[in-house]
Amino acid sequence: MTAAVPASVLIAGPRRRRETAPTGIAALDCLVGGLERGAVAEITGPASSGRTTAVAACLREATSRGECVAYIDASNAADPASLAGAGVEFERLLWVRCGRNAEAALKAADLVLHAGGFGLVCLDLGGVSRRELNRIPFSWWFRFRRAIAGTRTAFVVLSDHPAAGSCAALRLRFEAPEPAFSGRGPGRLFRGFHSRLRAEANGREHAVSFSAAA
Amino acid sequence: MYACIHQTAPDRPLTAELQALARAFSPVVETAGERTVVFPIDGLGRLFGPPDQLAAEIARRGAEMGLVANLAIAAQPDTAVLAARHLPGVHWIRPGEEARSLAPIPLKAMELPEELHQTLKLWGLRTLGDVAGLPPIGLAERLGEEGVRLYELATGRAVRPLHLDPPESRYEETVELDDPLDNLEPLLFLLSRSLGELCRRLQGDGRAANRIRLELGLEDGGRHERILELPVPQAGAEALGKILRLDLEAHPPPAPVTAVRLELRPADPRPAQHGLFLPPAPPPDKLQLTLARLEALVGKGNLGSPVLLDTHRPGAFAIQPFAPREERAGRAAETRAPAPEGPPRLAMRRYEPPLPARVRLRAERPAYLSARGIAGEVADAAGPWRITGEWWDARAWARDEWDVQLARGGVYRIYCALDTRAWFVEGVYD
Repeated sequence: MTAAVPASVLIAGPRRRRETAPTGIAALDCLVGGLERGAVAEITGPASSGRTTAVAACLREATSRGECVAYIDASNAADPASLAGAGVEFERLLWVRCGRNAEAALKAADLVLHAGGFGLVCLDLGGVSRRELNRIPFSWWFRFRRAIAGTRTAFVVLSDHPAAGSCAALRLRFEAPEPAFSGRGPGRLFRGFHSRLRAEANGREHAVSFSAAA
Repeated sequence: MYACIHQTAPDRPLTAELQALARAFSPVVETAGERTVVFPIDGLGRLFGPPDQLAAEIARRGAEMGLVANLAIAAQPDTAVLAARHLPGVHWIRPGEEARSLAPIPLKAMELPEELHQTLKLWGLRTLGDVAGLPPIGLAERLGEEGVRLYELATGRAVRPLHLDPPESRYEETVELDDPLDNLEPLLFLLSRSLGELCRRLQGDGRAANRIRLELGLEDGGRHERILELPVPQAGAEALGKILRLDLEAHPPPAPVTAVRLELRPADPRPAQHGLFLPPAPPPDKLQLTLARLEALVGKGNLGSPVLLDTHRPGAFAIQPFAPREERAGRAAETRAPAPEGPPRLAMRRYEPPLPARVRLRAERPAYLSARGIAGEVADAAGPWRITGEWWDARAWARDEWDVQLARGGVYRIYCALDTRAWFVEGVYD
């Protein structure tokens, strides 16, 4: 028996499946298996689409497994009360506040990724303008991908617009949500929202409905 | 042969005098409990004569120091410790006389497991002499390893090496400079040499450092002191040097340096073995260096683990140093919190500080919101929720909160400060 030889070197061979870490979002885990370790995942979407809620769920899952996680916060936007509400174990969370400095956030992410040993590293570029995102040299993303290749670290980039390009092995695009209110007058309550996200991995795209409760 | 001194005053802990007395006769000393020290006396015969004369000399010096203690000399350390703890006065237990000498010691005075205590009591055994009279094989068959150990103690045959106290060492280097240094590079070169020497000594003693104290004498007569606490003890000169470099670059001395004093506080090194099936964790030494670099990048107080404060004030948190506890095998299965049921809880992204906003009201409800980067008609709103707190303090707050959905998208938390009637956007639900 001889192994099948592709007719052309340009035809990609079977893709090696990396180990995945559950995201804590059941529908997403069923479809794509979770976040690939040693790979970059990109979460994008408009404000109020559920990106931060999804990241908090990932952080909760990782810390509950006993892993250390890092949250590089470019805009000082993280709300500790929300993270605590999601169930993130703070003792295992390294929070780096970069004070609205995207360049410092990239450098901080680079330091954390090269230190190694973190199960999940999240670079939160939410609130960074499209213009500023486009100014990030593409070599940064290759550097990040290279730093985690072969490690057990999952690297998540959260932003308003896609930035990592082909370096992202998984892309989650959140769509504009439908907020849910209930009640009338002074007793009206904000209940949460329903959203849809498109997960693109391995050249396939899946649509997943996503809900978050206030 | 071993000598054991047991301080009999129960209200006094192990004193420096007791340690000093033991070290006057032997450089190696074991601290066996709170008020007991034991040390070898082999070779002291040439100086002090036979053991009884040596015992008299130790007792004399102890009395001069004001110590009230029992003293025992025996062939094995455990025999000496037992005799010193339970037989008052000075005792020299000759080889072969251990069982007879220790016989009166009551079993209830010994620190035995409660279950073993009860078994021996049921058998009618009251003293070590009763145990020594039993056949050792039968005792081993019935009580196992604990029985054998007790028999060896009772007959003075328990053999073990001493667990020595670590030597008291100071790890410090002082350098007086002929010419003042006005540049960091030569200073760091000097420090790396001193660190290399100190770390070599630390590693030789099997220790690590958990604090670096650097004191720089300045040309203008001042002093520049830096104290770096290390959450994980380290003994690598290179890693400590990098931590020191990052700190000095962030906090350089204000004047040329004329003297350098570097001190490392010794601590037990942390075992580096990591379990095969444990979740990944940053290597402690690398993590420490990374944290120092991050601090240099984003500033002190901007990295660590968040902690919620015990208050209802919105957005109240503190940041504490990131020091994850070591994971142990099986923990995940034991203490893993169950996954929350239902949809995940909505998270908020905060604006820091809250964005000043202009809000147009219609029928006392927000109708239009405008702030930096946010503007639009309000499509839906929930509220107001009035919250107040800490009215007894200068940090008092009182505000009406609203959750508003803009027609162009986005759900925001806004509030109106009741004292100034000013509107702010606190955050966006995401």
